[in-house]
Amino acid sequence: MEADSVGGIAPAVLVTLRHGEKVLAAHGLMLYKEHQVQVHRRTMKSLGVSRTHLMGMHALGDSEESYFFAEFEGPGHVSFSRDKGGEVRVLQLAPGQTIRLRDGHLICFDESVRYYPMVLAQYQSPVPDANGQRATTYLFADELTGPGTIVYQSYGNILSFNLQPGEAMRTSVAGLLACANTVGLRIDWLASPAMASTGPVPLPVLDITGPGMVLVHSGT
Amino acid sequence: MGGVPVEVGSAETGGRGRELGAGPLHRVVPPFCGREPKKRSDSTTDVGEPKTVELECLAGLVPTVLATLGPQESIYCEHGIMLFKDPPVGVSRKTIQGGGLLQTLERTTVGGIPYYLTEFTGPGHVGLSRDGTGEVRILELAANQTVDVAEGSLVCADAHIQYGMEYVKGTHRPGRMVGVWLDRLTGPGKIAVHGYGNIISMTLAPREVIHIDLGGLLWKDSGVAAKTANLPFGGGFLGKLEALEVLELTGPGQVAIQSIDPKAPHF
Repeated sequence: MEADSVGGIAPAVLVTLRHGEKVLAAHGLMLYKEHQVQVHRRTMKSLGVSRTHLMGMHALGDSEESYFFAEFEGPGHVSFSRDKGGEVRVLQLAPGQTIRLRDGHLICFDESVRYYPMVLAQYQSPVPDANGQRATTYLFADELTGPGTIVYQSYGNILSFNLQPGEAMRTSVAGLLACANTVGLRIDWLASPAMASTGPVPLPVLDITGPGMVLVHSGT
Repeated sequence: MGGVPVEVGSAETGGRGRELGAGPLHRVVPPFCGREPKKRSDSTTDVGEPKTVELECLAGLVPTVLATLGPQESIYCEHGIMLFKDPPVGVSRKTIQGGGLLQTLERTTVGGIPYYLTEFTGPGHVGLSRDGTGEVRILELAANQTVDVAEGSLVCADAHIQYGMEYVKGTHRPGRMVGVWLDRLTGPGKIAVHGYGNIISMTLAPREVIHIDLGGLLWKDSGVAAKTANLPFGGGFLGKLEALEVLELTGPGQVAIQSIDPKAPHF
């Protein structure tokens, strides 16, 4: 498939499909399509994602993973938009190359790309709630493995880093947009008496260790 | 159709206007209005006597339309979108004709069409903003030329423009029991429309069909037929239940699409 970013404020993606070519996108992202482009439902099972795995992820928290994808089959043009401001990137994945993209940012991908939703990291609140429970937060991601083309959108601008082996960086939990599967992730906590008038407020951050690509976005 | 719309102030023309006649489908109009914001003159000396209402787009992330009105010249817009105005500019109410009490209640409570419009009469300047990130296009309609603008997208129109409404029936499936309302505007005169996000313009050939998201339409020629449709995801009850709801547009004519659905949270 051929994908182009269109516009600068809330960019859309214009995908050009040849005869028989297919692109998969989350339900409801389509902006427009030509009449001859066919629409089908593509179940997660057909992509190798079991229903148990998907339901398990939904049971963990606010996972935005869909139960199925919309599959568009060429020939023709189809356009997608996430209705948000930011940047759209088109990434060509080499065979075996894997990227983990935070949920809610994937726009569309080639049929040849292997898709698998996963839990990227999880952390427990250091402060118990009124019931004495420590809530667990899960960071969900879409794991995408090449070969093929994927298109994703950031909220705000994208900052790209390529970490060397052992090189480390720290981001906010919401700031991480995507990373390679070779990158190590660990949740850490920042707490400072100056962070709030009522006392230390622990702030979760992500410690990221190379090697691999890391994408951070400026909006959340 | 009475003619082709003339887009005023695009980057391609340096603000001189450009005919949007025949052209490739998927030709994308560059983002932003392209013209540098004109310095606003002192209203006490710059009332002049322009022969037509002057509409100018002040480009930016959240664009504004600056209307320069001569004596007794008027524009109308939806109530509540005024950003500023000169003191000499008069304000009055313009009632909307069409339909009885029930139809009025339906389009104002279920749809987003206002009860009445606000009319500004010169001399002076009026600034209008839709409070949304996007682009503004200024269209000059020829006599009897009609365009349909999505509800909530019209910024303002010359008082000579005839105002009406067009209703596209919904698919009557759960979640889409009602349809889509459009502002029907007939020239001659200028109108300003606000597209949320970026605007994608295209020309449909006769009988050419495209499917667009229900919130994606910005404006279309009245000659472009519109109807809602369900695109089933496979067969059976489940396929119909999960069907994709779209607006089916059939040419010939101009269509402009916006990349943000105004009803979706986009800030």
